[in-house]
Amino acid sequence: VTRALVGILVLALCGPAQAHKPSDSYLHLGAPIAAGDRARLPLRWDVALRDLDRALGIDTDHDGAITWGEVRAADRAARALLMAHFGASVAGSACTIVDRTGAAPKIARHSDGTYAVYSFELDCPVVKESIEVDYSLLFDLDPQHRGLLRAPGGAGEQVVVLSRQQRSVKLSLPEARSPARHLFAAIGEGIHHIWTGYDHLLFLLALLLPAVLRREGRQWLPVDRLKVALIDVLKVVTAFTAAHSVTLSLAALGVLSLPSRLVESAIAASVVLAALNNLWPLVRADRWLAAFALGLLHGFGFSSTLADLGLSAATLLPTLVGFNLGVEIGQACVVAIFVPIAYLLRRRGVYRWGLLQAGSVLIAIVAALWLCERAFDVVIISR
Amino acid sequence: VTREPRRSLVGFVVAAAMIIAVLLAARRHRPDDAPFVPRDDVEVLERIAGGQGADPAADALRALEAELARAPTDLHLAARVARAHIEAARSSGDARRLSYAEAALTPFWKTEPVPTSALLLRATIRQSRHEFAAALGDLDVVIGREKNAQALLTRASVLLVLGRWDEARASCARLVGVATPLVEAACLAQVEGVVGDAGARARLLVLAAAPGTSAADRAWASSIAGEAAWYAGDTAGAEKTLRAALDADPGDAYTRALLCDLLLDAGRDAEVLTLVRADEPNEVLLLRRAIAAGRTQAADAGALAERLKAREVDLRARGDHSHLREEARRLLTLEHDPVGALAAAQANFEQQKEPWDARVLLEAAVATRSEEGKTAARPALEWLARSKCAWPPLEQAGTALGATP
Repeated sequence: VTRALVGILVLALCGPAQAHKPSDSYLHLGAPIAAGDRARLPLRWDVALRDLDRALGIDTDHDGAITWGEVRAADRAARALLMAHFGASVAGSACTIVDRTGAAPKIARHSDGTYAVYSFELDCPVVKESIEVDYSLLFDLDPQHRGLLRAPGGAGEQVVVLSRQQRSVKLSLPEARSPARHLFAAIGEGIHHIWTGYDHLLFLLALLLPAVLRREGRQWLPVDRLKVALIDVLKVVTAFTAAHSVTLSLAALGVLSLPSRLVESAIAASVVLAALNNLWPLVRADRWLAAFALGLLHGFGFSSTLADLGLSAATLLPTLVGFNLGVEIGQACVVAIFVPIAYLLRRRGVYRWGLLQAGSVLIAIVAALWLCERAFDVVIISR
Repeated sequence: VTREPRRSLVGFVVAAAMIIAVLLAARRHRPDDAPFVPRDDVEVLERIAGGQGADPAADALRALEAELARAPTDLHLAARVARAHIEAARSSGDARRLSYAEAALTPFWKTEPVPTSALLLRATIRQSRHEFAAALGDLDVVIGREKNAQALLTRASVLLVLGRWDEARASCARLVGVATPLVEAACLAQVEGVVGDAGARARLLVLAAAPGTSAADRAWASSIAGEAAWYAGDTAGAEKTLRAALDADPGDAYTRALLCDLLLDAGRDAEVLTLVRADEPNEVLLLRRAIAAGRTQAADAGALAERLKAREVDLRARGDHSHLREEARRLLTLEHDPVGALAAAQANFEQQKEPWDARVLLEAAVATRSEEGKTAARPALEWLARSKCAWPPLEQAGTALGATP
């Protein structure tokens, strides 16, 4: 029963005391990567902005609103705080927690508010099947704070709750992956991403639809030979690939970073443009150039997924190469399925009128809805 | 040429089917916690205590905390800091604030004997975390040392939640002479509100209306009287009194939630939507809005339900089980999961036994239409028989359960 009385304090029994979740931070430890006789583990750590403010006073102008500028200004202090409150050891020898990215944190929304996302790497002297983790963030300021640590286990994922009473835990780990195995895992992620990254898929489709046709005057006519279609597809897909590999790498290395909403909106816009170009062709012969230009954009989009994979110095190269390869393989599958069917259907009206025209209209509509969603931050269709 | 429109239609349907399939599949992907880079430096990412603009109370508390950091052994200072945080937790519902209060007091809980003020505040914190046995332990130590009004009042509240009405009444009776008549009347009205004597409520309202009663006291007394009136079946009187309490203290989330529940029972869902805004951070209130939104098929109904569900998942992950009553109601009303709701309500009833706890257990049991439901709800029926609580929705649920084949 929540009631206050002047001079006498009566507090919540069943009322709003649970109206907010208490403080948690979320840690995600990645699978270990063998690097010589050492092991490296990527660590993603999400910390509530409210907690960072409690510990570091990041709301420097005390206006009750934490801005992106304030989070960035507190970056150094925040990383130092986190690194001082997390430790790990393998078979008695301490691992070092390393901050190799040097880039600004990212932001993520959890059910109870906004969190800053930091990436670290644990550098452990030996490779063993278990690791001892020690956590002490915020316990002096907020005794009910918890650290929720996710880690890959021997059989599936394990989640442990670290608290003031239970600060350390021993985790069993899967066998350390060699860089080669990491490469294969990243290839899988790349393929998966193309098949579930619907904006990229629709963009690719919009580019591929006219590949089995040629434009004459105001009309689409079927191409005569498969070779012509294949060369066109090859040019477009290669240009797209080369372009997004460049920006993906730049973003992953922390050289370039663009606001997510801008990138996502621009990607949606690129899909609209690609689809509209099929209806009112402006770019004809040089479609590969357009694919290259817009591919630069899509690379930034891929990079946000890559960040989720837990990038660290040890994994950067294999991840980057593997992910790019995976994306190419995924695209090659789309091409391999789409082009033969399109080639066979190319003389039919269904293809020219239905798939090309109506398909492009639909793609343009869907992408335009995405564009509205992303640009104005509303939900129209769930992606 | 004449065939072209038909072909176009076929192609359109094929393309549409493909895209719709892709979009449906897409709904499941893309994790909610995907990291992103904000637009620019001035983008506001989070609002903290006080919300918009300067907050003098927050500034004062900050200064007090800085002082405490320099003199962490100053009990008086620590108690002031703790009280400020507990007050904030009360009005905002922010569990972090309870924890900050705990942090300020922790050094004194390690001393032997623990000073009375530190014990009393610990009991308050424990009570709000639903650690009732521990809270009672602290309160008994305090009362053993001195006839402390705060301790007696808090003890009565805890005993009431546990369904130990006679002991609660006795604790209130001991307030005579130590607390003001208003406090004593409020203590009794709270107990009698559940186990039925309208006289206590009437006396409280008379005392609250007396000249010289502060606005805060009047709000507090009105809230208790309003709740008691509702349990007694006087819905109109309850609404009037609760609204008066809310006028005197608009920040009182407990009273607002009570009023929402009363309106939801009356089917006045639209009024709940105006009483709780969509951006309300307090999730107890948000559950009320979500129920009203679901019934009126408001645009944000789905999003609200998703948000409350996500929070529940996160609470589970940290091992928190102190909010089972709310969880049972969420499962029953938003998820339409009577079996899950019954399990939550049953576990909840083992911890606490207020009228709402009994009601949600009975309603969940009725909704399961099962023999298991009847068995699970037996403690609530016994509670109903013992308390003689005359709250109509509770009696209806009891009757409905009895009528279940």
